[in-house]
Formats: sequence, structure tokens, C-alpha cells
Amino acid sequence: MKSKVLVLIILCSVVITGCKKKGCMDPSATNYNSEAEKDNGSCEYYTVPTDYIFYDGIGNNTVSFSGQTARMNMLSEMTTYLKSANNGGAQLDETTLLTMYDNSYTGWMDQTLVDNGKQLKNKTALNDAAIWGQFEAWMTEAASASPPVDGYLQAASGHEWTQLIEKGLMSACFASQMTANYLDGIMEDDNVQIVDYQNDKFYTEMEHHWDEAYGYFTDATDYPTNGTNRFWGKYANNTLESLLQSGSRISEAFRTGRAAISAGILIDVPEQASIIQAEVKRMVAGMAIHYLNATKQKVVDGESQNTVNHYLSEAWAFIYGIPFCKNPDMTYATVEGLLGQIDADFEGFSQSTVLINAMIDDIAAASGLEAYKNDL
Amino acid sequence: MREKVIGFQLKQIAVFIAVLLVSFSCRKRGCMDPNALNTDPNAEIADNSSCSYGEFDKPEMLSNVCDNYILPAYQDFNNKNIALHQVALSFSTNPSLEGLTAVKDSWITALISWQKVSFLDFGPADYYTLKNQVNIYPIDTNTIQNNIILGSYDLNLASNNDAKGYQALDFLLNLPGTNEENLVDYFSNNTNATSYLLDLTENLMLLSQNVYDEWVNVYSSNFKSNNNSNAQGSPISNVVNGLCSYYETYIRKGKFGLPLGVFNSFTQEEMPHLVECYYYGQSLPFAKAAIEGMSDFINGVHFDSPENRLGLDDYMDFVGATHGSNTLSTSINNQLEAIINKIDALNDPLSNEILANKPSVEEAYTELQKLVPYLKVDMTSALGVLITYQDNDGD
Repeated sequence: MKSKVLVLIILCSVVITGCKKKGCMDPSATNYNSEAEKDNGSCEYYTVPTDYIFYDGIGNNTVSFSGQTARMNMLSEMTTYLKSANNGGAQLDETTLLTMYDNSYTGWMDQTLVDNGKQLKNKTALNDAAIWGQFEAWMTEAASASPPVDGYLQAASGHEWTQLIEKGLMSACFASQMTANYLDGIMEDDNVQIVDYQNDKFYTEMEHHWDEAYGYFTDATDYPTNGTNRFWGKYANNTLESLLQSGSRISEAFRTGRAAISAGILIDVPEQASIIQAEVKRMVAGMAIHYLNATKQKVVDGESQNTVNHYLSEAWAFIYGIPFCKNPDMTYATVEGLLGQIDADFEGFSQSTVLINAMIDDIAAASGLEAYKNDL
Repeated sequence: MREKVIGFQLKQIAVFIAVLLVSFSCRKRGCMDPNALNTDPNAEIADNSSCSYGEFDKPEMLSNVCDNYILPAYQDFNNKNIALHQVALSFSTNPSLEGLTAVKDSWITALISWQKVSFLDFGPADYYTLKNQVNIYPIDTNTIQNNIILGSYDLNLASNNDAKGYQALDFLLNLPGTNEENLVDYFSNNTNATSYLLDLTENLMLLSQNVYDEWVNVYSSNFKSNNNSNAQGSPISNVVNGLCSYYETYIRKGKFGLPLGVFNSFTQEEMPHLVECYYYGQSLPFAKAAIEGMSDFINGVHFDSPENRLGLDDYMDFVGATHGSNTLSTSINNQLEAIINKIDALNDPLSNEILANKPSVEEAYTELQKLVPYLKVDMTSALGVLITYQDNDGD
């Protein structure tokens, strides 16, 4: 009798152990088995490539951000045109600027931009018409001003429109679209359907939106070997890289998140999106501080007021850009208050280390950059 | 035959024992460098070729120069400026000859303390544009006099940078054409001038306080713990760039080259009025203090004691930096010594010496010039630091 019970117990335990399903139990693994009850060490993981290059299972390139590159090209051309009024250049034309902004312009150097269905304007500030109006007002003002014989085209107050428009749109369009549009909505995107196999759109909606966010950071897949010549890809790789590792952190998070999406490991995606959103905020605030520091330096170096105004205008535009990031460190109203302090006496502000440092302290405190403000 | 063999063996053993005895009776050799990993506390003879260092301990070096030079030096700078303001306050309430002498003495002490931190031209010093606010010269005597007459001015504006700081005090405390008694009368009868004097010393006190606080409260922790590469923005890069640019522009050029006329285009005509403390008539002690401060800093010497720990010199030695047949650190130290010797051979007022004994000043300048490539070329390439005096974010 006793031995029969013993046999039963042994049998039962063998059956129970045998029933426990074995498999990979890590949800971040590509072969995660949700039914597994015992991890058998078989987990496999997706790899993160060193370049932003992704193919589907049969070798089709799934990366496309041509619309973002087109908008960068538009802003590059617009900036070049604005700068043509410096140093005794020709008067700017209002219609040219306004049509460049909404891409009804046909005179692009890059003729592929004509009627390509992309524009900067309707991607500015998540459709906030008041902000569109602000950029258009700067364009109108720039076009009505007489170009200086020497130096940068600036308002009588000292504001340099070229900087307000270029650096302003880097945040109000590029950073806004990246962090507050694409990355913000990424988890609601479909990651099952291939968008349009017939027309070479070999990507899912989620993959494509992630790529479009990337396209607002840089236009190169091998960043930072390339793609460091303009806009965020450029700034992220200079002082911001050495102090905050902006360029490497952002590009790594983009590659990691994209690899996770393509491997279907969506659980890893929000973390990478958050890293990018946080790093972009640090970039915008970091550049604002950098150019405020540069303003002080230009003053003590004895540079002309026109040159000093140039640097303060860059700082102004980056400060202006802070609220366009996702979950901004400063609200639009707070930023308006800061800019109001500068606008009250633009040139007087530039001459005061005390006033500039007080503003840097505010921005550094809001963005958590106190430890870096001295070196930015 | 057999005995012979044994005899030979005995002889061998005896020699062996003798050698052993001799070596034991020798004083103990070992690594005596306190910075090495295997420092032998019992060693009596330095055999530093046996020292091992492993990875260069950058955080340790940065901690040493921060805790033992930078922080105490800025604290001293702050204290000397607080003292200066206090003495100026008592003078203002009761102007007297003794009071004036006390202000002058405090001014000299504070200006010496500035020389010891002047070359730490990065981070908080940069943030507060310290060098441009405390010791710009030549000063603008017209602006100073206008400010005093108007009695209304904003010393925080950059346009007043050449109307404030130690060199503005040089002018006020050594007003041309007045003797000391006249000067006491001048301050007694001119409340605007007294206020200006106080505003200048207060401004110095606040600036020194700001920079010291920033170092203590914020900047030092990142500075000390950073073990990253020496890329732009790293502590080593900041230190080296600040040191090189300050030495090149404000010591070599500002204190000697400019007044000597070296930078005066084709004419090379002397410009003696450009010396530091032109009105006081003493420039050399300040130049010497700056060089001595640099020397201590580079060598990792404590600010308030001769104790020598890890510094840039050890870092250069560690990477095996040489110049000719010497180590680079030896070359730099020899050059710093040569500069001090040449400065010692000069006489104040420097503005006079430039005209009366130009060859000697030129000799000093030549030695100052020789140090530039040691720092700017050899040291930077040895430590992998890029010279980034210019902002490179471009447009």
C-alpha cells in the first residue's frame, strides 16, 4: 500500500513537470512565447544596426523619409535666400518668402520640390495658425527692410529675421513634427499591414512614421558619418555631442526603436521614443543656452553690435522653440515672458552679463542643464 | 679530485652568501613616487623605474587640482575681495591716510589673488565673463570720470568693463598728479568718487563670490568625476584650452608683448601705457604671480602648501610626452623657470623699463614666447586635446 502511494506521487510529479510548457519567457525577445511557463534559455533578440538601414525579410528597403528631406531642402534654400540680403545684398521679395513657406513657389533650385505636395507651413506648430502668422510676419518684415551695406540684415531693434525663421522652424516644424507628432502617436500606429506593396512602400505605418521622425533629425542613414551639415543633425554633433552626447543618444535611440518595431517587439518602443523626446528638449534648451553664452563672449571680445545681435537672435529663436517640443520644459507663456525681457531692450540685454545669466539660469533650471550651463 | 670539487662548491656558496649579505645590507630600493600604484613606504632609495601606474587616474588628477588648487584659490580670491571691500567701506566712512594705505594694500593683495586664478579661464569664469570684468586694461579714464561726475551708471553693462575692476582701482588709488594727502582730500570732498570706489570693490566681491559659489555648488562634481575622452567640452580640454588661451593672450601678449610694441604693426613702437597697473607703477609682481600660479597648477601643487600630487605634468609623463631629450613636463618647468628668472632681472616700473632697458624686456618676452608651443602644440597633442578657442558652431 505504502509503495503504491509512493509510485503514484512519483508518477504525478513526472506528469506535472512534463506538462509545463518550455520556451522563451522574455517579452523583449523575438521568439517570446506567451504560453511558456518555464524559460529554457532559448531567447533570441533583435540586433540594432550601426546605420539606419532596414530591410524586410526578402531584402526590400523599408526606410523612406524623402518628405522630410524635401522640407529640409526647402528650409535650406529659404535660409540661403534670406542670407543673400546680408552684406550689401539685394532687397528680399515678400512673395518669394511666403510662397517658399507654403510651397506654392516654383523657383526652387531643386526643381523636384515644385508641386511635390510637401510644405513647411502646414507642418509648423501642429497647425497653429497663429504661429504660421508669426513666421509670415517675420518674412514680410525681412522683405520690407533695406539690406545693410555691411553685416547681417536686422530689424532696428536688433532682431535678425533669418535666425528667427531658420532656427524657429527647426523647433516649430522639425522638432515639433518629430517629438509631438510622429513619436507621440507611434504606439497607436499599425505595425501589421504593409502600406502599399505595389508601389514600393514595403513598410508598415508604424515603421514609416518612425522613419519620418528620424528624417526630421537628419537626412543621412549613416549619421554621424554624414548628415551633420545642417539643422539638428549638425547641432547635435557639435558642443551638444561633447557635453550631452545628443547626437549619439538620439541616433542610437532611433536605430533601437526602429529595430524593435521591425522585429515586432513593441514593448521596447516607448522607451526609445521617450529618450528621443527628452534629448530633443535638451538640444533646444542647450542651444538656447549656448547662444546666450556666445552673446556674452562676442560682447567681451569687442565684436560689433550687429554681430552680437546675430548671436542673440539665434538664442532668441531657440528659446522661442522650447514650447514646440513634446511635454515642453517651459510653456509658451513662460517663454513669451523671457523673450519679452529681451525685446524690451534687445541691445541693452546683450550687453549685460547679469541679465543674460539670469535667463540662462531659468532655462537651465527648467531643462535640468544646470551642470552644463557653464560649458554650453 | 673529490676534495677539490667540494672546495670549489664551498667557494661558490661563500660568494653567494656574501652577495646575499651585501644586497641585504643595502638600503631598500623601491618605488617612491606617491602617485604610483605600488608606492613602497619602506623604500629608502628611489627606483622609480619599478613604479607601476596602470591607467592614468584622470578623476584623481582632476580631483587633486580641483580640491587642492582651484577651490582654495577661488576661495582665497573671494576672501581677498571681501577684505578689499570691507577696507574700502571703512575708508569711505572715515577717509584718512592710514585708511588709504590699507585700501591700496588690500587692492594689491586682491590683484595678486586674481593672478592665481586668472588662467582657469573656462567654466564658471567664462560664464561670468570674469577676466573681462575684473582686470581689463588699458582702462577708459574718460568713462570712469564721466561715471563719477554723473553718479549714475550700470557696472553690469559690458560698456563699463574698461571702467571697473582692478585697473580702474589702479587709476583711482594712484590718481595722476595727486599725492596721497591730496587723494584723501579728493575722496573726502567727492562723495561720487567714494561711491564709485565702493561700487567697484563691491562688484569685484560679488563676481568673485559668484564664480566661487558656482564651482563649489555645481561645477566641481562633474569636473572631478569626468573620465571621458579629452574631446571638446571635457574637463581636460577645458583646462588646457583655458590655460593656453589665457597664457597666450593675457600673460604673454597682454602683460609684455603689447606694451613692448611686438604687436604694434610695422613700427613695433613701444606702448608703455599698456602695462598692467600703469598708475601704480608696479607690474612685475603681478606677472610673476600669474606664472607661479600656472606652474603650481600644471604640477598639481596644492594652493596653500608645497605638497605635490597628480597634475598635468604627471599626465604628460604618463603618456610619455617628450621634447627633445627631455620629458615635456621638464621642458615646460624649465621654461617657466627661465621666464621667472628673466622677470626677476627686470625693474619696475615696467613702463619705464620698456623704454630704458628694452633688450632685457625683449629677452623676457622671448622666453615667454617659447612657452607657447610647449603648451599649445606639444601638450595638446600629447593629451589629445583640440585647440578650440573659437566657437565652432559656425553660422
